[in-house]
This record gives sequence, structure tokens and C-alpha cells, in this order.
Amino acid sequence: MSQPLALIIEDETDLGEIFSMALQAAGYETQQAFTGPDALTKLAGCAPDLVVLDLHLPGLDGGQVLKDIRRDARLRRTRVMLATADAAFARTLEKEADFVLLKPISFSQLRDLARRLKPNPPGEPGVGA
Amino acid sequence: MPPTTHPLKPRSTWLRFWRQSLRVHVLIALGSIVALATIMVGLGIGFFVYRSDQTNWQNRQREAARYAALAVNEFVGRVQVSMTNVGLLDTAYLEQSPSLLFTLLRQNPALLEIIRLDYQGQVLAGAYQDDAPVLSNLFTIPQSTWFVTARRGQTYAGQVQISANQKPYLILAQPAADHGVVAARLSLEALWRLVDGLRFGETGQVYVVDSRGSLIAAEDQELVLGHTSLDGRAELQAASAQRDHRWTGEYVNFQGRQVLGSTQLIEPVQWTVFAETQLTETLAATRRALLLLVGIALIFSLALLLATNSAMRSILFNPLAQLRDGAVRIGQGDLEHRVSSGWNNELGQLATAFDEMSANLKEREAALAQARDAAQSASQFKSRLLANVSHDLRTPLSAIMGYADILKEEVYGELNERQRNSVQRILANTQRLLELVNSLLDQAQIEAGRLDWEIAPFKPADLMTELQNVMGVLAQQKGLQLITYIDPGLPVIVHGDQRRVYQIATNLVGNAIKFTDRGWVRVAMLPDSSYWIIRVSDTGRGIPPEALKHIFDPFNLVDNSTTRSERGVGLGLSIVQQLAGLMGGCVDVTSELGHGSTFSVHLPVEHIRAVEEHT
Repeated sequence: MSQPLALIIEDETDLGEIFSMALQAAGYETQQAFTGPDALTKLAGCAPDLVVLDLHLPGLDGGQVLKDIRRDARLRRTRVMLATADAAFARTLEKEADFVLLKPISFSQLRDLARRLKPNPPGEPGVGA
Repeated sequence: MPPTTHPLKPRSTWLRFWRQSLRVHVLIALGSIVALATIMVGLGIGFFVYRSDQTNWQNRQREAARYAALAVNEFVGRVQVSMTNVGLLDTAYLEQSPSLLFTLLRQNPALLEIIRLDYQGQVLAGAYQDDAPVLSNLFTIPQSTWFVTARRGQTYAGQVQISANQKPYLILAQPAADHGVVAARLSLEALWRLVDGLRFGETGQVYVVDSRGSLIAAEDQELVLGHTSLDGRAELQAASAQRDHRWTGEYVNFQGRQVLGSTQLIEPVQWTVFAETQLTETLAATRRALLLLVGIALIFSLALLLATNSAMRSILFNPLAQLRDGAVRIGQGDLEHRVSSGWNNELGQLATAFDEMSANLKEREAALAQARDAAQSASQFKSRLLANVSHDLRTPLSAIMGYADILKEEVYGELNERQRNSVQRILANTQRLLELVNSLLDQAQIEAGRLDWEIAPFKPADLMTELQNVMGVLAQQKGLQLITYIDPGLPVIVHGDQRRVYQIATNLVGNAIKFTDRGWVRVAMLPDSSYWIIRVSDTGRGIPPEALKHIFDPFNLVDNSTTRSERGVGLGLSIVQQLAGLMGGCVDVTSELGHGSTFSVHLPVEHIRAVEEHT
């Protein structure tokens, strides 16, 4: 296993790109999804270590996507980071999510956090192993 | 701040009714006028009745006195006629017919004894009806007052005397022919019977006094026999001062009774006849008339007041009550209510005006409701627009910040000095813009009433630490000291929305740092009875007094001369005040120009106590 995988689910392409770059800078391999259904399709085909999830998504909202992830036994090791400007919505999902980041989220903030969440390479101690 | 209460003072309902009731005022005024008028009329009528009745009574008294005098005169006259006849008789004739005088006595029972004397006092003839003669047996006739008086040619009437057989009499004497004298004893019993027969009214009485003031005839014979004298009494003096003793007046008589009396003179014997009636009788009619008048006046006044009250109720107070009820109903919002009910007077005009007012009010209310709805929907539209725009503004802002951050982190390669500087400025300005957008969003949410609250226990110390971490850096950048203080009396855990309290605190501290150029900014958390206080003070430039009044108004900026970078959108303090208010607290401020400002946020502690009890 070379690099951990991160899935960025964000309908704003610019923000998706910034998040991708931050995670890549943290040493992740990244994939992007732009709608709710798109995200579910992508999730069916892979098991990411980290999901950065926007809540207001076309097709299916982020809350539903989060519930799907939590129901899927295959994805039990996946960490979910909510990235939203809707604090009220985020608060209702606080228990199911691992982190809640309120927009705007700075590049360096996300990069540094993602670095700390990286699963340990074999033989190395780390966070959340 | 704890609310101040004003206890209501209890007031007497009756006193208020007394003071405020129009009906009471009208009835009192009318009652006073009627009572005054009745008293005046009553007094007038009473006085008139009294005067005419008294005149009447005086006339009756005069009449009674005159009648009594006539009777007594006739009585005395009959005696005198007999005596005159005897006086005219020839001396020789008298000696030849000694039975003549006896015959005369029998014809006049009032005479007890009659004698004829010659000029020397020798008895020429005499007759008597008693057991024994009195006058003819006297040895001192020539020296007797009655003989001397009659001898001088005057009529003599003597004092009351009692004969040996207990008969009361008095001596009469008058001149006779040949310078002789006729004398007689007059039976008082006959006079008394006469006087006793002269009764009038219920309390009327007649009595006779002689020229010396001695009582010689009265209803009560004991008084006569007791030699009662009226000599020196005012009524007798008043009567004597008049011609023929014709006098009438009110006085207290010799018996101590209040009387109306009238007097007459019995000329031949110089007696005075009194005819008296007690005032209780003479005033009785007046008294009855007055009682009747008072009764009628009372009944009349009462009837008038009742009638007035009833009339006022139907004419004035019922319509007024309808108008009042109408006003109350309209005041309660029933603008359909109408009070007109066909009165044709001023009240009717008032009712019509009232109804027109209601109609106008209704129209105006409809217009106002329309305007209010329009304003509300405009306001809601504004709030929604603000919320949406703010939200949508943040997405591109996030992108701008993200890319600038990427550049700053030199992901795309190393930056030269000018590039780094520009990126820094992009980030700083974006941060400012973001703050403004956040303020707008908060304001919009507060106005729309859509602010979410998250009430949970939290530690003021944590809040203070976070404040120190975040705001301490900003203070340091300006070379200021950020001092924090937590009073030991403040509970360790409080209950509330930590995020909102923090928002308030950062807003105030941010302002303090912004407007302070040197010195310190101090944040203190203090307990204060049922509130707790977050107090932010600084050594900044202060706020002018005139600006202090409007410091919490939205979009108000203290000083237009501040640089653009210092100026916010003017919502910060307004939001602080609104948030504190929504939490049940308040904010106050004191400031001294050139020396600094102090903002104090008071938040209720009910939650604190509740949390304390559970920990």
C-alpha cells in the first residue's frame, strides 16, 4: 500500500481542487465526487481512508451520504471530515462524523489536520491505528 | 439588570366613585339648589303665615278683651244704675218706704248691701242680703275713704274683702243728691261667675285688676283671695300708658305663662280687663303650617331628585354607558361595533362622530395592516436575501482564501518578496470581507429570528483561555497587553451558548484592540447577584459622549475619521447588544474620551445555579 486514499465530495470545483491539493500535500492519493449519487458510486468502487464531505450537494445531501458510509461495514475504517458552512446542519451530524470543519477552511489547516490523520505505514506508530 | 417593580397603591373605590361620578355631582348640586330654594320659600311662607296668623290672633284678642270689657261694664253699669237711682231718691221718701231698698236688692243679686247717707255720713236708709249689715254698722263712716271720695264727687271702688259669712265683696260708693253718698257692697261671686263665663279658645282666660293693680276677678279665685297684685308689672304699665288702656302684646303673665294679651279699661271704676291666650295656642297653626311645609318640601325634593336621577339615567347616563362600552369594545379591537341608536340630541351627534371614528379607524387599521404586511414581507425578503447572499458569498471567499493560502504555502514554488506581500494582503482583505459577511449573516438571522442556540454547560475559564489564545496574538501585534481576570466568586461551570458568549467577547475585545494604540486591554469575568458580568476595558481613545448614545445602533460608526481598515460595517456592537438581549441580559458602556472605554455584558445566572446544584 503506497499512499492512503482520500475522497473529496464537494460540488464547488474550486474548493474541491483546493481540498485535493491540501490532501495531496499531506501525502494522500485523492479522488473527487461532485454530487451525492456520484459520491455513492465512487464509494462503491473504493474504500477511502479519509472522506472530506460537503453537506449541501446536488442529488443527495451530505447527511445521507454520511449515513450510507456508516452503514457500510466495508467502510468502517473510513474517517469522515465534514466541511461545511452550515453549522446548524453540521451540529445534527456531530456524533456520526469524526471531524467538523466550518468553511472557510484554509489550505494549511486542512493539510496539517490530514497529515495527523494519516494511517501509519506498516511498522510505524500513528494516530487512530 | 433586575426589573424594578412599582407596587400599586390601593385606592378607596367609594371615594373614587364619589369624586368621579358625574351623577353624584349633578345630584348634589341639584339637591343643594332644591334644598336652598325650599328653605327660602318655606321661610317666606312660614313668616307670612306667622304674621297673618299673629295679626289674626291679636284681633281676636282685642275682640275678646272688648267683649269682656262690655260684659263687665254692663255688670258694673247695672249696679251703678241702681245706686244712682237710690241716690236720686228724696230723703223723706226713703224714710217713708224702708222696704224700697230691699226690693231693689232683690232685683240686683250682685248687690249684697246698699245704703244711703246724708252729707254728714248719717245713714238715711239701708238694706242688705247677708246675715248682717256691714256698711250701716260702721261708726267711722265720715272718716272712711269711700265716704270721703264719694263726698268729693268721685266714684269709689274698693279692695277685695271678706264678710263675716265668708262672702267676698268690695265696696262701691258714689255721690248722691243733697251732697249725700250712696254706698254698696258688690258681691264678687257674681263678678267671678261673669268672668268665669267669658271663655274663648282652649287656653283663653279673662281677669280684672283694679286701679291699684290688685286682682279682683279671675278664673282661679284663690289668686283673688290671696290678694295677688299686678302692680308694677310691665303689661299693666304698658296698658296704663295707653288711652282707655287699649293695648295688645306678647308677654309672660303673672302666672308665668307666655301669652298674647289684650286689655281694656272699665271707665267708671278704673278697672283693667285682661284677655289672654297662651302662645302655645296662638303659634299652633303656624307650627302646623311649618311642619306641613317641611314635609311637603322634603317629599317634593326627594321626588325631584328621584325624577332627575331617572331622567338623567335615560337621557344621559345610559347613552354615556353605551358610548363607554362602545369605546371599550373598540379599544379591544372590535372596530365593527356601532353605538348609534337614534338619539336626536348632542349625544346622538357624539355617537355618530364616534361611529365615524370607528369606521375611519377600521379603514386605517386595514391600511396599516396592509402596510405592515408589506413591510414584514419586505423585511423577510431582506433577511432571506441577506442570509442567502451571505452564504453564497462565503463559497467564493473560501476559494479565494484557499488559493491564496496555496500560494502562500509555496505549493507552486517559492515566492519572491513582492509576491509574498501581495498574497498576504489578499489573505488579510479576504479575512476582513469574511468578517463583514459573517456580521451580515448574524444580523439577518437575528432579524429573521432564526438564530440557533446551543445551550450547554461550559467553563468560563475555557472561554477565557480561547480568548487569550486568539485575541492575545492580535494584541501582541499592536504592542498591547491583554490582561484577563476571573473573579474567584464566579462559578466554575456556567450554562449557556458558549459560541455566542464567545462571539460577544471576541467582538468587544476585537474592538478594544482596534481602538487602543498603547496600554492594555483587560477582560474580567465577575459575579453580580443574579447576573454575571464580562467586562472589557481598555486604555484606548474613548468614545465622545454624543456618540455614546448611539453606540449600539446598527450601522453606526463612532468616528468617520477612522481609517477604512479600522472601520467595520457598523454591526458588531449592535449584534453584541442583540445577542445579550436574546440571552436575557444587557450591555452597558462607560467611556472617557482619551482615556478608554469599558463595556459590561450582564448575563443571567439562573442556569449557573442550576448547573451548580447538579455538580
